[in-house]
Amino acid sequence: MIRVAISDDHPEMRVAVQLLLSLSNEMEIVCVTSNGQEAVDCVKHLKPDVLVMDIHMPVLDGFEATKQIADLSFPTRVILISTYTGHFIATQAAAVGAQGYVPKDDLATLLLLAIETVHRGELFFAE
Amino acid sequence: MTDAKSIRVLIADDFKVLRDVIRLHLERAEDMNVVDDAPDLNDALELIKTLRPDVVIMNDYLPPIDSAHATARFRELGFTAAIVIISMHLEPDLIHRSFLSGANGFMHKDEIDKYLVDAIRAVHQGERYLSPSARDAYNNIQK
Repeated sequence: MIRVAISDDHPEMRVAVQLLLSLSNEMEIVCVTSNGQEAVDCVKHLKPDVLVMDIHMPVLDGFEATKQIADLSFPTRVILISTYTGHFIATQAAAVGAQGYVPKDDLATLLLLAIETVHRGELFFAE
Repeated sequence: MTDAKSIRVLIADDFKVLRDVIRLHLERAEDMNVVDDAPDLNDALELIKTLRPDVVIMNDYLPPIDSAHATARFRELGFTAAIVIISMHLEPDLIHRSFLSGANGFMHKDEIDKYLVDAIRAVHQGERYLSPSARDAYNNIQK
């Protein structure tokens, strides 16, 4: 079972990601948060296998939260998501220490595969 | 699986990610066939007219109008598809007005995982469907 955390300030996006993860028998949602600070706290306390996190969020954005999580040296893998597409945003996600990036428009088709991929220790950057 | 027994479903919601995920969710049910999806009222009107779905899953706001007005528009045009409204808010007044306009079901989006397939089957059989939290919200307006 892959233990997954979700962080997004958009309530409807949280609903969509939870519904998507419910389609997999191999994933368990361990926490759902709405800003980067809550996501960091979740990682510290629950050590999920994978964190799926929006980039643009209040309090602490996804980039800063990813840097803090990388500094923890925990095994948690981070997949960043946002509305943007293209090489630049994927490169930025990699630079802050994320193991994956998925544009929100492609979540339904790519996110489950991305979670499985980073959980295996590989990278998944969709541009 | 597409066959004569399939319930033909149209998804109408302005949030693309949710349309995509609901489609994946419904494709797991053997008796559901998602015929298409629409991001707004105009596209929904056109697709209902041409595809004649059995059931329409509709957000409580379908740009540029709310679900009560959209349902009323569908009924004025003679569309007989059963309509299930999905919502993040469960405003009792909107539930009430949507049913008065001819909607057949209402549920919170948090409940899609547990109840949407049941809701589609129920309204397709001619029943009215309220999810547990929508029933709680709707009962409040009737007290």
